[in-house]
Amino acid sequence: MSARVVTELGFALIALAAIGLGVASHLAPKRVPKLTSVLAVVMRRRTTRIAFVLAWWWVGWHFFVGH
Amino acid sequence: MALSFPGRAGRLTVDLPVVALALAALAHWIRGASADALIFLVVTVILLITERRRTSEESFTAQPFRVPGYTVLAAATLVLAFGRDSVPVAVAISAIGLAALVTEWRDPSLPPDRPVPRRGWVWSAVGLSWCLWELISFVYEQAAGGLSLTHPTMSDLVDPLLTSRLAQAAAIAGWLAAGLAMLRAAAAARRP
Repeated sequence: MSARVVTELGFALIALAAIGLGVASHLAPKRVPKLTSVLAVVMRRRTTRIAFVLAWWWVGWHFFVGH
Repeated sequence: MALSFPGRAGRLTVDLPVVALALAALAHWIRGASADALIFLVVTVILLITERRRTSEESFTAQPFRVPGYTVLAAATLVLAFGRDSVPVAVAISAIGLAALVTEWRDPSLPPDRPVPRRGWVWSAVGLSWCLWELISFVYEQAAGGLSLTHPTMSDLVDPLLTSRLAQAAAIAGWLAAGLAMLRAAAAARRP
């Protein structure tokens, strides 16, 4: 197995984990909290809010403008 | 103060989001994206300055800024019409980012009196795993002179998927929908 495949599998595994958690949080919200409910707590801090918003905005900028 | 958690005397801790922003600025500088590095650095510095100022409950805005859901469709239509790397899309994304930043900057931090939901750490684990994996790929990429075929970053993997305008429109709709969901969660955090 090449290093590239291992890298791609790593990203795929993380993406699948996120999707799995998202589905689980809707099917069993008492066992797995929804991402938005976790964000609602951690984003009470302004520094966290700004860091998250900037990171999100940068993803959009990077893929749609910054070429 | 941004460099410590207020009200926790004896447990002086570095504010991780501020550190993450500074490290992101450094990473952008290393990869040669000086404009991105400057944006992250400026935001970090302004954040440090604003967090030093004392704020009161009165400084909270009465109503959180609301973005209608149809903006997702509008953004997708814009990309479908002009494609990425066009001036209209650049203006739209800049305006969206600026509006979101100003909206979230208006209100100060709230007291940490709400517990993180039980098992909330699983989401942190996924987020940190992605950051770590991306960092490993980034280091390998830089060591390979900027283009790594053996350890591609997320950008290297996603970018080829965005060649058609249809894929770009779907991607920007997903990006904006995710951002709006995050902003709504942040607005929920400010409700009493």
